[in-house]
Amino acid sequence: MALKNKILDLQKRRELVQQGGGEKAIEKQIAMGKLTARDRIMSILDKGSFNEYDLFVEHDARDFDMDKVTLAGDGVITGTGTINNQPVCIYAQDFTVAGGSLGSMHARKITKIMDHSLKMKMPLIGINDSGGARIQEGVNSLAGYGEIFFRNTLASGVIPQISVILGPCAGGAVYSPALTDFVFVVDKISKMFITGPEVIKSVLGEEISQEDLGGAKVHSRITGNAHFYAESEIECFEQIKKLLSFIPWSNVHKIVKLDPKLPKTKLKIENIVPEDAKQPYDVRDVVKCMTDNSDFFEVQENWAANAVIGFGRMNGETVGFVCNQPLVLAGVLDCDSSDKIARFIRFCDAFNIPIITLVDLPGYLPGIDQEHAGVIRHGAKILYAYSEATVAKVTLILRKAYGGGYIAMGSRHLRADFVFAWPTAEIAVMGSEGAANIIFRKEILAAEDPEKMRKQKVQEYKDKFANPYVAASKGYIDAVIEPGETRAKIIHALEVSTFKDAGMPKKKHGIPPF
Amino acid sequence: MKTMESKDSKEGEKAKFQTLEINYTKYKTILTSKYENRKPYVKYDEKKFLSVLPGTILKVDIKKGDKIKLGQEVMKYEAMKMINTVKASTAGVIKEVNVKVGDKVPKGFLIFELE
Repeated sequence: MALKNKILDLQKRRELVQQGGGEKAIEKQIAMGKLTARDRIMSILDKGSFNEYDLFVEHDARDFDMDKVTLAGDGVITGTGTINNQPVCIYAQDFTVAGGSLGSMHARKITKIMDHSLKMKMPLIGINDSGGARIQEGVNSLAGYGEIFFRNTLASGVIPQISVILGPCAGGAVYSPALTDFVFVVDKISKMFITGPEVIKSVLGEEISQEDLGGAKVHSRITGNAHFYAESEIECFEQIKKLLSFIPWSNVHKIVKLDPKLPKTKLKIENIVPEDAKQPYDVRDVVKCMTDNSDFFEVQENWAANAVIGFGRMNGETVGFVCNQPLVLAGVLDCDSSDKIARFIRFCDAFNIPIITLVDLPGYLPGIDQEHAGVIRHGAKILYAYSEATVAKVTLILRKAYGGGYIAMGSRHLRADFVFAWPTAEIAVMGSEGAANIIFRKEILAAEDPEKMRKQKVQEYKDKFANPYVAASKGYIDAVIEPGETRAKIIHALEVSTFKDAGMPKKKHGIPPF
Repeated sequence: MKTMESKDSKEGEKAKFQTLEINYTKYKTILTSKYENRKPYVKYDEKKFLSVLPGTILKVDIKKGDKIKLGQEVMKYEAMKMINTVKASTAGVIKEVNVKVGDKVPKGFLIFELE
């Protein structure tokens, strides 16, 4: 009987803590259009798979009458569970408990589950919904953030780390998401900034809303801090599940291979790319003609859209795509797209995901703003990332591959394992018009009809150099292939790269142009 | 779910195409709002003293017509919770002073100008 009473007592204790900040606070949370922390965990994880730890942890603050306050679970829920039957560690800050503020015990719960995820080699999902540091706990809460950042860095490249921003995430708190691999945001709910609108107003006299300063749209379109944008929490959770279906549990796990499927798109791969190099098209259509089920899961879709990155499967295996997008800014490389591509390559490399590069670019974006924004430093990140990556690298040149852009986009010279080109490929220092204008400058100026001569010389150059055969004659590309052969050739290239050993020199770590 | 599948190429066709010129070649493409809204370059003018941080003017030691020396203290300026002494980075004669004590100035504001 005594045991029964003790069990009843346990159940009562659990129930009390599981109510979080109580009915009123929960009502408020729902009125803001948000789910509760517990509901969020339940919606992301497989049904009935959540196992909670540290439910009875309490804060130990004594100052400012905090000793008289109990905070359920100290404002954060932590545990393990499964998504698509794969194990994950998860934590969710509970805004209904003291605004989800981070005190030392709150942070200790988070770092404990982070330590688990690193030790057990499984992905970590952090749901952020917090007003920030618990001011009453002073420097202890800052210490808490620091411990989290340190672990984010330690775990980087070992386990996939996912941050979900479902509420405010301001000040120092933003740096945990910034250190993780993928950040998910939801319209009207996510808010991320270092200093909020009030501070900006008092210091700068500039007025801006939270939404316009650091809302979901801002971070998915302007800053690039977010990787996935959703219009509702439920849509966001589906995106998380989809992402996890492509990536491994850790850097030592192999991704589960699915049954190979043919592309299901009705698009014909040979009809997508216009012959005229000045005409745009959507490179994602080419990707869809290559992937299983024509499924392509794009990352950072709305930021630096002149480059396209994302995951797909080929012959059942996950691959990462890096593409120039002629549809936007003619597919040029610039500061933002260089950042976007370089980071994605490093993710793929860390988690053993082969990289497939589709090339069609006129070069780097010209402009004073770009030069002064450091396009040299940013652009170098792509060179570094490709050169450093030891996973299988397969490059396909669809059309233009000019100048520095040709070298940067997974060229043979940066140790691509296989470089293919379509017959439409033009591999040259620059486009025919630019090159002819420079090489035949004297002839053009001296001609009776300079314009006629210019056109003639452009054509001459085009006929001679605007093709893949000059590069093929040097072995810089391995094979010129028909568009219709693309999928088969790439799948074969990936298959023969299974046991690739890149043999990189030993070092502590390189110094990428961050 | 909208973000799951990338958009149809049709959407691109409907979009407003513009021209981007690179190496004498004009490409038909979509320009991003970030590209279109990029700030035009303004050449640095050593005769124009612009605020580098938003803040409050605490003290003004110069007036129109004053001759100032290189490194001379000209102003005290509170920005980022710090009282900063503004020193002249160029010598010359003051053409105009656009602030008075107590003024709040934004970043990039023309504080004073030399002839």
